Amino acid sequence: MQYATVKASTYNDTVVRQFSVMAVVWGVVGTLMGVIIASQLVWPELNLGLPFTSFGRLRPLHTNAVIFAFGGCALFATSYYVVQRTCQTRLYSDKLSAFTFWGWQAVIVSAAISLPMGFTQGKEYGELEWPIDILIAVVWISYAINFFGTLAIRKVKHIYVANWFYGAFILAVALLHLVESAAMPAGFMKSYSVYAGVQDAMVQWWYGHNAVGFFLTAGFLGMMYYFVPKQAERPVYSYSLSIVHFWALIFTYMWAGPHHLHYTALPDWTQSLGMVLSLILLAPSWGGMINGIMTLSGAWHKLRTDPILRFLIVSLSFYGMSTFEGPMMAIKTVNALSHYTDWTIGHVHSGALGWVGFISIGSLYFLIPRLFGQKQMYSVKAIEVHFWMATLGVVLYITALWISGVMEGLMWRAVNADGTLAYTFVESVKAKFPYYFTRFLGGALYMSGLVIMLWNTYKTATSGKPVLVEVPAAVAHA
Amino acid sequence: MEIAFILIPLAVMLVFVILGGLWWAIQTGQFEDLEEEGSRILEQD
Amino acid sequence: MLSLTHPETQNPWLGLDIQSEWERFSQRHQAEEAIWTSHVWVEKMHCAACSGRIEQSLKQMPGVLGVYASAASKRVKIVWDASRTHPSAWFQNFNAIGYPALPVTEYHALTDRTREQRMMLWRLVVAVFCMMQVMMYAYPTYVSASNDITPEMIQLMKWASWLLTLPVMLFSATPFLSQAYLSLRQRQLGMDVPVALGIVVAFVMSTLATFAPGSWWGDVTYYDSLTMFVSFLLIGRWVDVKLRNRTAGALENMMRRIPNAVQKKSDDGQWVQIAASNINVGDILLVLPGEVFAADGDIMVGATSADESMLTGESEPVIKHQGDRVIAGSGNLTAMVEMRVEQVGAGTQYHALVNLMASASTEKPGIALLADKLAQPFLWFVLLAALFAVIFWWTTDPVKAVMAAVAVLVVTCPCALSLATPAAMLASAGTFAKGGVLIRRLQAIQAMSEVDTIVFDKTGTLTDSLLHVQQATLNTEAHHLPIYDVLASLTQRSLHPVSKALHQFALTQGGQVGLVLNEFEEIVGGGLQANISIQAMPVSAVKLGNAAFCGAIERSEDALTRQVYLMSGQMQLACFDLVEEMKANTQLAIQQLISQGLDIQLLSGDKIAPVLRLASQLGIPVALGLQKAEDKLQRVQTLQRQGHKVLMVGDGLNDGPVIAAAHISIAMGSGVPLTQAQADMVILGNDLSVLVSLIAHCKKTIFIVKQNLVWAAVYNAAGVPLAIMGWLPAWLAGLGMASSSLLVLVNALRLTHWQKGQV
Repeated sequence: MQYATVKASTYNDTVVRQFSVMAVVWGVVGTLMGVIIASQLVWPELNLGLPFTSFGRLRPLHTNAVIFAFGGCALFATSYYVVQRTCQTRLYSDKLSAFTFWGWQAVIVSAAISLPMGFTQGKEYGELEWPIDILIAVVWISYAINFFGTLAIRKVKHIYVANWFYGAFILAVALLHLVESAAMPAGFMKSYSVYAGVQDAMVQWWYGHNAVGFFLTAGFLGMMYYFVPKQAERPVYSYSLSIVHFWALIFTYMWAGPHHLHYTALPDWTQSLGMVLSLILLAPSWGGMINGIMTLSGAWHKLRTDPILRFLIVSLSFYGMSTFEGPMMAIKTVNALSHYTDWTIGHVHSGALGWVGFISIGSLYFLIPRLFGQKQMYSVKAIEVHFWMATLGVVLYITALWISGVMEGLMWRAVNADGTLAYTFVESVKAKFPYYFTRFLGGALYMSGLVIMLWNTYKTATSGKPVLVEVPAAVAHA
Repeated sequence: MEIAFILIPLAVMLVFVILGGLWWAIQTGQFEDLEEEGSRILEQD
Repeated sequence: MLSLTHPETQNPWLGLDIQSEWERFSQRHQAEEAIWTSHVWVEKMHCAACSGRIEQSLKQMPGVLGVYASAASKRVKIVWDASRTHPSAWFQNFNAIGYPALPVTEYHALTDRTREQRMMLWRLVVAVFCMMQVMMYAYPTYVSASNDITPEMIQLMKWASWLLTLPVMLFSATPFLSQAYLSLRQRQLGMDVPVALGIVVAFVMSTLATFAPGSWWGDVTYYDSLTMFVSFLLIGRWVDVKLRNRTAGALENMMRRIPNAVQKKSDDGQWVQIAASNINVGDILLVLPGEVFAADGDIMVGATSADESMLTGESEPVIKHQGDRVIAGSGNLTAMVEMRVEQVGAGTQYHALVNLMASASTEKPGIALLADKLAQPFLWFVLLAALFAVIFWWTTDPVKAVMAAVAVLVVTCPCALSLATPAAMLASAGTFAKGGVLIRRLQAIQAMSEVDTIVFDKTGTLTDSLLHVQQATLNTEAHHLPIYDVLASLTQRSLHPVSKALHQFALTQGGQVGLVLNEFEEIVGGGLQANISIQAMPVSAVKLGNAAFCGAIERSEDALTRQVYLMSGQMQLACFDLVEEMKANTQLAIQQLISQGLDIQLLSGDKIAPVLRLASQLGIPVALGLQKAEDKLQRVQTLQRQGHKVLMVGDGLNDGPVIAAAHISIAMGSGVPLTQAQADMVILGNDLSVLVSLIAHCKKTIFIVKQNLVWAAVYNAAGVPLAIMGWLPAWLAGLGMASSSLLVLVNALRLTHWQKGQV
């Protein structure tokens, strides 16, 4: 450690800027895809009879776009910003930074091309074929080196808790990706998974749920732990709690996966294990929610006037709701009703739109002005409008699917006095029509909010100029 | 459930890696003076 | 620490500017020779705002390279360049911004303790996390039907559990295992032996069942019970270490001292500064008023008076003329003198007292704790019961035999027994610490509950060394004169206890300093005199002192108070009656103690008259004066031999030996650190009434200890038969042990409420 004052240098905000802008862009694209497929469920004619535009091919494009394109860019942007600011040092390698940006965009574009063309491995959130999988691995390793390298050259001894969450997210996703994507190539864009049958199912949902746990939870908790205190101008409610629930979370998440496979060919004991651990997971998850929300104690009044803070805090409410709903749905008896129904999709979207979406939006609204030398976004009123549209959109969406899901679950299991099924499958599909329409509306509202955000971002970027921010001269913290 | 022969050893290895991480954190004093670290980000930038 | 520093003397931290001094709380940078990291303690740092202020202020100093303050631990780390700044500079800065700092002289002890606590926490964390993982792998076997899980799967999970138990065995459980091993090596049955035995047996059985299943040891594993058991044990140990460190830390802060720098005459006649520890016989030292004499020696130049109350109990300053001997540790009150060092270190009176203290403490009657008496027989009982269980079941079912034995060992973990006493003691100690009483030896709490005689010292214990104006008689003919202005101005510079008391009094009566004094003189053994020209005063020559000095008429010879006269020429302006100020609530405290049936005695080194005066005022039946350290020691030892349980309360060095020897002793926080080091408890504040509730709370503590012991007995009496009969699976035994320990701890928490004022 040097005791002389460090030469003044600047933060690498270029890559942060790039990812932030693309996050908004992909947010619009991803939700647009969602609106398209939602409308296809209401008006099947919109499949257009073409393979490229069919629901089956567009659905994974939607999931990949919102999770990896929108969510991924938001995570890249914020993790690069947070690690630099909390370590008081520039990113480890500008070259790697640039590579991760362009590489990730290449992955997204490849997905956008290959998925409608029908190239798929058929595994949820792991559809992309093997060449793209390799690209993802290379980009991810670069990301890991860049991120951990920055931590290694930090000027502050303590590693802020957000970085622990980001770090765990990066390492876990690397592991998950490698295991899930293991496949035998059999052609340029064709491969066969090394797993089969129920083994494959287990791996898939070990992957799938950990993707939720580490990509969509741990990573975004890292985001939360930085941007909520910064926007509220108050420190995290209990820093010690953040450390405790972090370790508890990583220790318990790994085995919740089987809850996706209740009443399947998976052995009973594995299903039970998944159920119990999913219930245990409630505690550390709520630790995070409480910590985040209570950070506002003493500053609740700010919610009245600050729409960005509203996005951030409401995201935590949705987080709490989803992490309560999830364990409930993991209980076998509940799952017997909910499995394969729209309730599952409703649950996913309360987490995705409510928690992941809102926390990203709030964080980006904090970041973007600063990245363009401004104090705030071009139009704060537009943020307000966005907030109300988005909230209404989410509420419409999840309510519609709750009703739809429970209804179809009940319809499926309804039996007549003589033991025959009371409803045909088609009848249950027809009954869902109004709810599918409502969901389409909700989704469209949410997407429109993001379009407003895109406009707001454009105006902010063009009326400001990117500034170089100097890394503060560090006095040695021994 | 033969896949467990991969997943369980993987999980056990992961536990040891995580314990190693915890060890490093404790030894380098990451868990000292916690509440002040929480406020530190507000003073920066 | 004697703090007689005159406000106008040099920067009191100069003594730290010598490398040998700052080395004691600093580390040198590995590469850069001139760069040091120092650790200081800042009591007043309460919150993040304070630490921020400190960091900001000190960072701006030239030569200070880094500042890292932590309000949670009240410590500050400073990185500084010895070629550009020095400790006294930034210590002074600390003081200037309102956060006085003290060197963390026990820095290494502090880091050792921190390391110990960290390791304990780390062991606990590893145990808990591994326990959770192991339980997760055990769960499927509990819930699944007989052929739902394939044998290979079960085997896999056993291997995984074994692996995950290894860190617990090799790391988390090592304190118990090594302690047990050590005690067995010394052919003693330590408390950890049954526990260690239980852990090892359970692990060995489970290992055999995992890797070589089928023989007499069967194939059931107990990793979940084992890890759970170790986790619970560690929670107890961690809490124990934390509590212990908290009280230890508080005590050490109290003992921090700033070393003295002294001025020595060098060969070329210049005065140079050296550390007090480097003084040699024959050195000539310059001692300013307000400083402490660093060695025994003779006055070569000048005359002064010395405060020897810490060493002899003598409350009156002692006049020292040229050629008189001064004692190391006494305070220079009046004038600057040069002294020649005659004795340093071992030869000083100071050290004679220290040696007396050391020998007295070895003859101190021990206190056998209730719990310790029961521990050994209990442990034998446990081992025998376990052995019995093995023999009983062996022929029927060897596995059951061994596991029943393990259950016996686990359920009877003397945790409840060994926790019963420390938990209560520690809870009380923590509570006392918050209330301003530091407990240095936990056994003292038990001794305190048995006290029947209390011996008090006088000066500094029952009284402050401050004097107090009881009555002021003003000359009615002089009412137009600004008497209090004269008094305040005259006494402003003098360090004599009488002057200080009168100065305070003058200020409270509205007196203002600032009158011009011409030819001001402080006469040793007499008083103060000066010429003050004020219009209203007839004669400008003013004298303040005893009757002889001032030429005043003594009011009465055998008055209970001491008279000081203020004269202007021949006219008496005022007469002040001074008494020694008692500590707060002393009278109340003594009355309450007497009414509780305790014998109170007063032993003092002071002259007989003031001792008897105070004794009659307070109602103390037995009082002796002119007691030297040996005399006090002898008296107390006689009382103890007669079977009395004696509590000694003192503060000075002359109380040191008797404090070391008494059954139980309390030192005053304002007293000599060395004496505090011998005492069992230290009262930090100035309020003696805390004694009454202290004794009461100690009695309550012992009562709760006994309650806990009874519970432990009952619980074990129930648990052992159940375990022997094989009705207690290992995990239930562990749970039972944990719950019992928890109950004992919760019961001890009742001791965290202590009302200082109440009995």
